[in-house]
Amino acid sequence: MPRSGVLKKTNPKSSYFADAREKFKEHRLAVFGLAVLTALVVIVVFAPMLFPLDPYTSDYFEFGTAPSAKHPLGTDAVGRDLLARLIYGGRTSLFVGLTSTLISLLIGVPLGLTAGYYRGWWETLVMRLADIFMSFPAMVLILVLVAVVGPSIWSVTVVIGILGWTQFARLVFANVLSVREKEYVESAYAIGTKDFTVLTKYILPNSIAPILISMTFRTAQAILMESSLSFLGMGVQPPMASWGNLMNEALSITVLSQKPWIWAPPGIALVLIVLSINFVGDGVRDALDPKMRI
Amino acid sequence: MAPGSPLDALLADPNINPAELERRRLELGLDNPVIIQYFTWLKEFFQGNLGYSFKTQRAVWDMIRERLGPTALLAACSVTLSLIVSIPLGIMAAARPYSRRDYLFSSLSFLMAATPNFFSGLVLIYFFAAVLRILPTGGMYDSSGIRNAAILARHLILPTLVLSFQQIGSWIRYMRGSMLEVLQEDYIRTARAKGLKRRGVILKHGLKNALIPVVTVVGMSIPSLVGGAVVTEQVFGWPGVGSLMVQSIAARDYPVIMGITVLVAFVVLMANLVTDLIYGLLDPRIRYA
Repeated sequence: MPRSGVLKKTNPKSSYFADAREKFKEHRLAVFGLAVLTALVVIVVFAPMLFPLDPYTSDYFEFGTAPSAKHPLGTDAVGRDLLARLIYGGRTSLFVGLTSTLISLLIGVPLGLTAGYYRGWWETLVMRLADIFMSFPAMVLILVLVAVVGPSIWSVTVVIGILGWTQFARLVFANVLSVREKEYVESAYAIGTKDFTVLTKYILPNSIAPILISMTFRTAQAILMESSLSFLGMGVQPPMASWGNLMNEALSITVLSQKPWIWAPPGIALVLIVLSINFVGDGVRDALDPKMRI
Repeated sequence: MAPGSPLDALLADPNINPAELERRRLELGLDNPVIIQYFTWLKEFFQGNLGYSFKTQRAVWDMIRERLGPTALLAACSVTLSLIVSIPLGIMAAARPYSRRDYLFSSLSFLMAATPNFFSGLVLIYFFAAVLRILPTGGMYDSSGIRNAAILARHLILPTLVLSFQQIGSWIRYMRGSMLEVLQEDYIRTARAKGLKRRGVILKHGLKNALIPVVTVVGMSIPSLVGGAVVTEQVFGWPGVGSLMVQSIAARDYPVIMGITVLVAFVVLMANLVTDLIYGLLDPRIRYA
């Protein structure tokens, strides 16, 4: 964030990304977010390799027990270790968040790029389609689609991914419009460069920063959507663990009021990961492109 | 298409035989291809008929209509609360940018936007209903059978709060951004130069202009409000359209799902139209040809 009246001395030799890194470091919340995010990712990815965690097998001597030395977060109604399920649930969240964002990116970027470059009826088709998609409540659409294809980790990922294309398409479209009349694009075109090369080598690189920023926010959004769906029972299905379906048990008032260790940890983990991703996104935005608003 | 059929529930009945099941299937038109089913639905729709529920055999419109009131009440309370909270906080944050107060409010808004409805719902129910026992856990009225405004209000508090959190989180940031931008305008400097107090300038000259973009943001939040209502109603057992939706999806009750989807689309379109009209009223520079 800009501090008023202080002009920082910049090293003329420093590169674009070195500058950005410096600016990112000044954003305290973003640095904090990055630290928390890294810690969470490391735990979720590596803990199952280092410790014997089993999220699927029931402990036949402990059903629905409170936290103990043997089960640090207790066990669920069928005796599965909740700490193991929490960590595996984190893998589910990260997988759905990243994969669906990648899907959105792969659909949205080419559409936005070509719509902005070729204009005409193609632009009308793509951008009006984006308007239609964006005006309808994503949550309702996802619920209906997942119900039609049947809930599973794959259907949830693909549906969230497909519905996320509009954000990237609009972003890239706006960017292409602002650079397509520039001289370097015109000269590339004039010397007979193929459309594909002009698009990928001269136009797309201008959109890299906003795309990166948008990706972070979209990942957080996708993680929230997956957990809401799983919470409603329309997302990732047990026995596979997800932070959302772990909290589904809290729909019973006895679990909610007497066993907070079942539903509180996944909720806190969820808020922490979404919050830290958003902080990082905010920091990356300020560092790469302070004028941009998302 | 979908795994599971609307007839699954009937299978649980030990007295049902395959012939009866087949008769029901033909009766509901489930033997036709999906595309034919869809055009049958569309034809009826244009004649003002949303069809009948597979599960309860009642008219879909009747089922939706009795759920509209509770959802509208919840949504209206939530939008009102969100506006009352986020506009002043946004102004206060913009009045002293990069101050401690600004950081506090923006951290708060990040936290609110990052907390999913169902988790904030669970936390609030846990504290206010289970630990403190001062508010009900859910539903619209309690089991006493008495239906008055006081009981309704007590049941309304927690769902309204939960549904408002995400709006408040994003609206504070929009209000702050919009106000910051307006405060850099020449007319604000002129007003200050005339010797008007800072506070008066912000509230009188700044607020009117800063609110214009916020109207759009509020209008654009309607889809996410509807999505949030689905989850919130489910957590609190609120008898609205959202919980009807979740129930119908679980039961594969396609006519009801279709009916609600059409309704949601209609509400969103209307909200967009109203937003555009208000926008034109507030900002005379915008003219519709």
